Amino acid sequence: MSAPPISLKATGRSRRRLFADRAAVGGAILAALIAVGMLAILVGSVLARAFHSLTWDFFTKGPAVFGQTGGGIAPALVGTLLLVLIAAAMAVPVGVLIAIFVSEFANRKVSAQIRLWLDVLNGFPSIVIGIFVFALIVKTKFLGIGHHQSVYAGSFALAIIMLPLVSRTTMEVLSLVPRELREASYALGVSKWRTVLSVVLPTSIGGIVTGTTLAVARAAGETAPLLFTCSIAGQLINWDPSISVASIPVTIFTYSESPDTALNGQAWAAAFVLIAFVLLTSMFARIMLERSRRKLGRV
Amino acid sequence: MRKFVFSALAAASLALLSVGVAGAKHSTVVLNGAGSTFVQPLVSVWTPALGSAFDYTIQYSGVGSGAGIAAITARTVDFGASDAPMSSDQFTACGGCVQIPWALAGTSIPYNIPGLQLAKGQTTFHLSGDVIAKIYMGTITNWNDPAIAALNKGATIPSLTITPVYRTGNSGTTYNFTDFLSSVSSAWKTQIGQGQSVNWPAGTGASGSSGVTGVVKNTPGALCYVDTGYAIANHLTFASIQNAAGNFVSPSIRNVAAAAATVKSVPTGNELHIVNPPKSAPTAYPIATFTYIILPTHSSNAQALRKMVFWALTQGQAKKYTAALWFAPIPKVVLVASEKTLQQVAST
Repeated sequence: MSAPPISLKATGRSRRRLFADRAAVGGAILAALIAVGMLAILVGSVLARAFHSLTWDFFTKGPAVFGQTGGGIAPALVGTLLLVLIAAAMAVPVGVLIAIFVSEFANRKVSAQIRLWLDVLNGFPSIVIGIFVFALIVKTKFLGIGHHQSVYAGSFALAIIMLPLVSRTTMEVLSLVPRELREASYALGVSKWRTVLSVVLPTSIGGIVTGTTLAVARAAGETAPLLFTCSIAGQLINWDPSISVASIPVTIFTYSESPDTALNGQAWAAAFVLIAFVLLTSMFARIMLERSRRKLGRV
Repeated sequence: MRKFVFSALAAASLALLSVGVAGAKHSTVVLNGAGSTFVQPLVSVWTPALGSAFDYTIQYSGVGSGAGIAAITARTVDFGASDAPMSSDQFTACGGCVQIPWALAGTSIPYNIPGLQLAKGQTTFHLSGDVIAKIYMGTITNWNDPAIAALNKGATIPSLTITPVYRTGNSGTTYNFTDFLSSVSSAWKTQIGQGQSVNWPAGTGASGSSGVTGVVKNTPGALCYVDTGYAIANHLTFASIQNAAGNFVSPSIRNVAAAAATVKSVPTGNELHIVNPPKSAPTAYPIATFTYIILPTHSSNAQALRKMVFWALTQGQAKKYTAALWFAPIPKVVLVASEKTLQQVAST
């Protein structure tokens, strides 16, 4: 005589719970697949359309004279490089200083306010920033620069976009720096500013670089702030930041409207270059962040 | 790790520094301009030539004539360009500007009618100002309309809805086109009138010369009005238009020049109209326009601007620059007036 075997099969309420669980997990997996799939489709379709235009000339030559074939986007590549480098030179020091102030010196009330305003700035419509900079330094003379479109004006607009990104990420890493490190420093009689400069900043440099890289990737793809500030361009490569240059996003914008199919192809190719740049910089940022996390974990 | 980061930062600042040095070495004059997309192809051909002649860098942005006038009014550029003459209000707002006719071309009417077969012996599709006005007013809506058939006897025209395409924004080409329509159609003149932008009763809008050309290229049944160079470069066929003498003429250089030859004197202010020229010019193309460069009378780049425009008015009119884009050389009487006006541009 043995007891009837206990069935492990779910019944009744537990059966329903099991289904709900599976449905939820399935839905989550599907959503993740859609996100990854979207990215794959996006990159794939851009590459498919860009492929024919990705020639050596495309990277080394200026745009063809009207009605002629060939040509490339070399001035736009140089222009975007200049724009983001100068924008980073403006945004990074200010952004890092804000982060240091907020996480090391400010009291809780002030730092909460600053965080809020940075988030507002982060969500600010980029076209408004473009118009603001236009009114400030393109339409009027400002500190001796301006009264016409220039790399400085475009970079200033991009810097405003980069600023909250740089300082928010920097705040995050600064808060990861263990309290013990600072305390050890104070215990040795080191002053506060010296601690920040020699202990806190070097420890979090990886995170700061990450924030900067992500901000650069974001700024490189911005079109709206440049339309009013840096969109008049010649046909040659230009390294002078006091005049306006071609840039990749503005080139995509104008070429995509062209009736010339060759230029449409170049717009796709330029889009691919931009995507590749964003992917590479994001990956680089990720690796840097991982390294700095590991290092902080060791402490 | 830290070493790597610092060397990366050092490399970045070195790159920035070299940018600054390269910038400092920059000694050529840069002239920024904005405006008409009509003249943009010609400016893009002139740019390398001006670069080698004077070491000038021309940076031109085709934002449309209206935006070009706005840009020179705000002095955010060194010169503006417009196909529409500036109104007296615009002159007042601009505060010391002159307009100088510096190029001349026809506004073509390209169309996209798949399956169109012309009668034997007819080489181009025919349209009249009256029919074009009715198409843009929405009263002629199909290509097989009897009014169009009457202009193209013996042609096989498919039944296809017409999509008239117009320029959005303030456009000098729109000014030229509506100037023509107002001159040939009293209904157009009273109901819609002329301007850089008008209230279009029918059709689809597109931005810039490139935009309208693109829409016509990709839309069966579409037609638009655009600088002939764009139609040629994009392999679009365009109509021959009936002029006052009753002839159907293409916007060829010779026919545009014939229209421009009707200018006997240039008024102060240089405003010129050559649409719908009189019967006495039997080969004149009826939708041609002078296009203007707008210069401030006081500019820190005055000398370079004068040299550039003088070059454009003289050497720039040579066939090697203009012929492929179907721009006609500007007539002597206009050239003299332009050069005289150019003297008003002085250094600050």
